[in-house]
Amino acid sequence: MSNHAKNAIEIRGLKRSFWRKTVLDGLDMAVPHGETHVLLGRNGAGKSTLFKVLLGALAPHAGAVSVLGLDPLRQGHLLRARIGYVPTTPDAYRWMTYPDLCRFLAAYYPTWNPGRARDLAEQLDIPQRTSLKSMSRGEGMKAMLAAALASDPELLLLDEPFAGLDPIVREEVLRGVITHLKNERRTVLCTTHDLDVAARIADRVVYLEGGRIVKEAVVEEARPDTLREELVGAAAGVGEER
Amino acid sequence: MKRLTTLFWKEWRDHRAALIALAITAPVLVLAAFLAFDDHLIQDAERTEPSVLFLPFLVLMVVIAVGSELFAGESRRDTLSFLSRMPDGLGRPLLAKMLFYVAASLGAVLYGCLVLLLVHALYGHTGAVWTAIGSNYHGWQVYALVAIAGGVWITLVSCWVPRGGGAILGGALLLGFVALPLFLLHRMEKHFMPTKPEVISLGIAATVTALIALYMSFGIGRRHGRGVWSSAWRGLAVVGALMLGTTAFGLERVHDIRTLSMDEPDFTIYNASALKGGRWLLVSVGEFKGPGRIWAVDLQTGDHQQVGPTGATTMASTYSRLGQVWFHEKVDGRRVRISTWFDAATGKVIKTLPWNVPSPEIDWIIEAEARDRTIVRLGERRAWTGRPPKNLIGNVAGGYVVEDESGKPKRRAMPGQVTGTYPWGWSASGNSNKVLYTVDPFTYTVRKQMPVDEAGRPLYGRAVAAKDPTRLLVQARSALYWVDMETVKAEQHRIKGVSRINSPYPIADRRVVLGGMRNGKAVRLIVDPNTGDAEIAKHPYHRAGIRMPDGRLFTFNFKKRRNEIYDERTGEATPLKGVDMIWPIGFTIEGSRFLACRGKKIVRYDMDTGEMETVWPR
Repeated sequence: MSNHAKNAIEIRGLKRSFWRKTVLDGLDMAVPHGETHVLLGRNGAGKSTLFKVLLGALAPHAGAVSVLGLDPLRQGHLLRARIGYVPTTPDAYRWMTYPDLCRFLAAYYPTWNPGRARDLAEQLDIPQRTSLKSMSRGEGMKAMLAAALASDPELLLLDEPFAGLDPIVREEVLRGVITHLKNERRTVLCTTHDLDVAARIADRVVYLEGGRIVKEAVVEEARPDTLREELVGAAAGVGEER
Repeated sequence: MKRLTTLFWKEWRDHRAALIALAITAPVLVLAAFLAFDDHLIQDAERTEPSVLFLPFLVLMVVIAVGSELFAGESRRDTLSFLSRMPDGLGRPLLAKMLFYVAASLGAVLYGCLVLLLVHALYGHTGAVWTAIGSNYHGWQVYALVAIAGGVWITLVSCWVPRGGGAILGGALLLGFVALPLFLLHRMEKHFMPTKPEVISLGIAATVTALIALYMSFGIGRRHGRGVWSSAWRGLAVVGALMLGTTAFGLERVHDIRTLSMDEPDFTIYNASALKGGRWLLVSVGEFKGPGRIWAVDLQTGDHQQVGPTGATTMASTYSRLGQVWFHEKVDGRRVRISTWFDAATGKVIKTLPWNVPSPEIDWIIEAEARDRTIVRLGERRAWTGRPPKNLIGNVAGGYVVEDESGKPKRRAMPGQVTGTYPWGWSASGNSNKVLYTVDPFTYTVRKQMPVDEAGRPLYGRAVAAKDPTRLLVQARSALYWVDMETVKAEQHRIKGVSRINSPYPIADRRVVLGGMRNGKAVRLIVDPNTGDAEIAKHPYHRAGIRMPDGRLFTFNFKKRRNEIYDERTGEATPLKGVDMIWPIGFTIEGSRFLACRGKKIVRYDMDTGEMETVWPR
């Protein structure tokens, strides 16, 4: 069995710059099928850029990227149909209600499951007649999460979906994610600044700094404080090296 | 197909607020335009036209509202990342956007027509709408082209700016940028004027180019997270290619305009006039698409020289027989008609004078042929044909000229240009629609009013002819009227079974031919203007042609595509021998022979034998 088959995401020597600023600098990373990896890192560490590369929305300047055995750049149309993506903020059309959003996405995703979309809406208590414009940020994020899960994606990319949510809503969204991760061994790559989130959902935590992975940790038991110590230490080490 | 439908639905949801607002406003605008022109003196069609103008306005509004927001709206709402995350990428959304743009524009046209019909149906003028639309058929083509090309360019620029409003200005600037080489070429060569097919081709090219640039900008330029600059540079590269193409084409056209050779395949002699003395011909030549030139051809030596600049023309044979050539030029910021005179006695160009710029230099006066005299006054130079005049009328800007027997001209000012001078003298003239004048052809006095019909409506008409100074037969409002010259009141003169009477022109015996409709078919009427008696003409009278010495008429029967010699008295038309179509040159008839234009040649044709010999070029 090839590496592509073993790992849902396989990245080797990935480089990407914007003008003179190098955001990803020879990144190597592998996410096996069915695992949840959490990407930690400071603002500007390259987390969102990495997601764009994985979605085929951004061309790498060097390196090789394989997602679900496909090249995101050349086979993006096939790949995106198998990926669920939840952005930092709801970025769908603001006039869309949750059913509108589902109607739009159903046309695109062959694996779209209307029953699952309804169930998720009920579970997450998503308003049906309210447009995204009128929804609270938490409701909007839940709608985006449900919409991403309803297509039954093989890979779920979560781009800081918990950022800026008040604690109660954050907990609701988090539980929604955790519930679905437990039930279905889906491959998940999630970025967050929140160590508590990382500790609760991650199989492995990866710390990104200067466009490279500087620390990886397997999360056997959820211990945010331990994780914090490890990662702070790793970040300090990077600082000293520089 | 499902994805395209969904994207189309998405576009409708994006733009429905603006479209619904326009749909609600439209009937109000039409009603306002219609009511604003509610005047019993104005005919239905005239009243309808301003409201019909609403149609292109509505389409333009829709084009701007939709076109400027198709892409800029995505940027402004920050939804491009959502759209580009979909499995298809940006190609299908681009297609859906363009389809929606076309559908919205067509929908605006159909909805606009519906609104116009409904509003006018309230007043019982539905037919006038179709008339107004039909009368502006060529205008609609231009409107459609402007709407499509302009809208696509606005849409293109909206890919590069975050605000739709900026796209409108940017689109206009970019189109101006593309048009700049053409403008400069026109400055270089004033006869560089695109023909209608060229304008249409340019419009299509501009639209197609904008669509390609749109794909390069949006479909490719925004791929892989590229930003506005990537989008703009790719689009501008295509725009630059269009600009280079049009510039190269324009330069080629300018070169064509500046060179004319008889050896060129589409060199043509359009018409010719024989100057007095019979030695010189003023020949109108040119290429099919190029501007015309007037050549003075010496029939003795076979040489030719150009009279006036490129683009000059000759008009009525009366003027060209005296060697007058017209062209247009800018004088004091105004575009005016200039006349150049070729002196047949010396073989030289003698004078160039403004045509309609009031000046002591141009108190020259020409009366129509029907008075059997032609008088030209050029400063100290005077020439005339036929009998010396008792009085003269000339078409001069701002007035007319009367000359008494002593030859002293008297200029009489009128607020407005004298227009529509007609053989036998009576003319209608005016300054816009507000101040109306008539000139009495017998007394040369001016009446500061127009003839009015029984309902008090003014008649814009042309007197067809009259010997009786107390009344004139006038063609106006698709009918004939008797106008009492004392009261200036008109009464309709009906001809049984004939309607839509139009286009009078004189024929022999001071009678006049008019167009009309009888039983749904076009007919020609021969009317005696003194009695009003009318008969249906047997000859189609497509063009009067030239009068033969024996009174017969050399005519063109375009239905049968041949020349005919027509006797108006007997109604007999005889086809010409040995040739289908030639264009005779006036004042060159000698017995049965005359000079004529035929393709690239001037020929001498003998009507009796059908023989033809080439006179020029030698």
